[in-house]
Amino acid sequence: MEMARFVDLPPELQGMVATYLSRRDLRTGALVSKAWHTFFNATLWSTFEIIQLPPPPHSPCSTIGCTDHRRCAREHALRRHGHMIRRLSIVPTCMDAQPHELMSLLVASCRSLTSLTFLNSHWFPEDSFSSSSSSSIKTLVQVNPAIQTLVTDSCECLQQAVVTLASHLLALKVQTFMSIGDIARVMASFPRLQELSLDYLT
Amino acid sequence: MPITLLSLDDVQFKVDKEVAERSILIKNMIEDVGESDAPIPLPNVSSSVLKKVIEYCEHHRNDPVQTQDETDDPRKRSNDIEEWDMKFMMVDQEMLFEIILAANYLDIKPLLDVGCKTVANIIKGKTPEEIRKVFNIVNDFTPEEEAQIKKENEWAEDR
Repeated sequence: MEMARFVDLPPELQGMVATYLSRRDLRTGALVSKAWHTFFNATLWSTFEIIQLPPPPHSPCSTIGCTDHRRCAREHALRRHGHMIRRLSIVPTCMDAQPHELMSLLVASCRSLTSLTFLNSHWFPEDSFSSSSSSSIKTLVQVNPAIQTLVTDSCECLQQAVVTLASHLLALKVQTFMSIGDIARVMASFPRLQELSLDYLT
Repeated sequence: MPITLLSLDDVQFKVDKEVAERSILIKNMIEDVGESDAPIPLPNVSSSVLKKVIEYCEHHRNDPVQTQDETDDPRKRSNDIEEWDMKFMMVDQEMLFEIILAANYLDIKPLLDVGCKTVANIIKGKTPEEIRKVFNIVNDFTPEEEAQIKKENEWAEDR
């Protein structure tokens, strides 16, 4: 009989093992072998947290003409793996040189989000939202109609959610000032909502 | 009344009902069929694995039923395995994975958890090379592929 191995475990059991691993461990697992890569890469990319936007460039990229190795790697990675991301958190604490670019990359690559956290939205410059008819966060919500959990402090994001996610949003956490009238409107907009949490009221 | 379990390779094991019923699968079977002398066939479990699983169930026969602790935190702790379980899991890897598969099939949640935690603890904090060594895996990446994956996933790390 063949010796039982990790890759022979059914996916749900591999997933149970993965719940005990850090993202660093998942990254390491993806480098072990091709068979391990399939599972670990998908697990690594199914959740994605952008807590601190990447620091400025520090090393040159091998791509000819590229002046920003990190940004280049990020673009490549998101283009290849963005479709696997299911839980996305964008909570910047410092300014990226080009938040614009990051957002449009996410908009271009994320299609399977079921959970979106978009906080500290004030870190994104105003003009990135007002310059075009539809801001990038609005578009991100628009192209991910399967979102069931939303946490945000952005009115733009909430507005778009009312339009696109009305029929199936299950959990909503709003961290911005809302009037009683706004709350009533939100509650009426999401008939399937099971959890509503409001952090600030007026 | 003792229950008779029949392994894949036709070995019979007589165990107390409360021991057998640590397995939700067996518990449900007994409830469905009613008390009977007929052995319960377990066609997915070999005798060597079943012996280990019964050893676990004997030791944990008086444990309270585990309550579901589905926390929101997707990352769970694996450093809370009790000493007896840790020793119990010191088996070769083939047996380790067989126990996990059997615990899943027999629906013994606490054993499944301990098994998964044990595998996670083996993987934790190691380099890819160390993991290959432990699990006897051949690196089938070219150096270029390896560099490419490293570069892509660099961005998906904890920050």
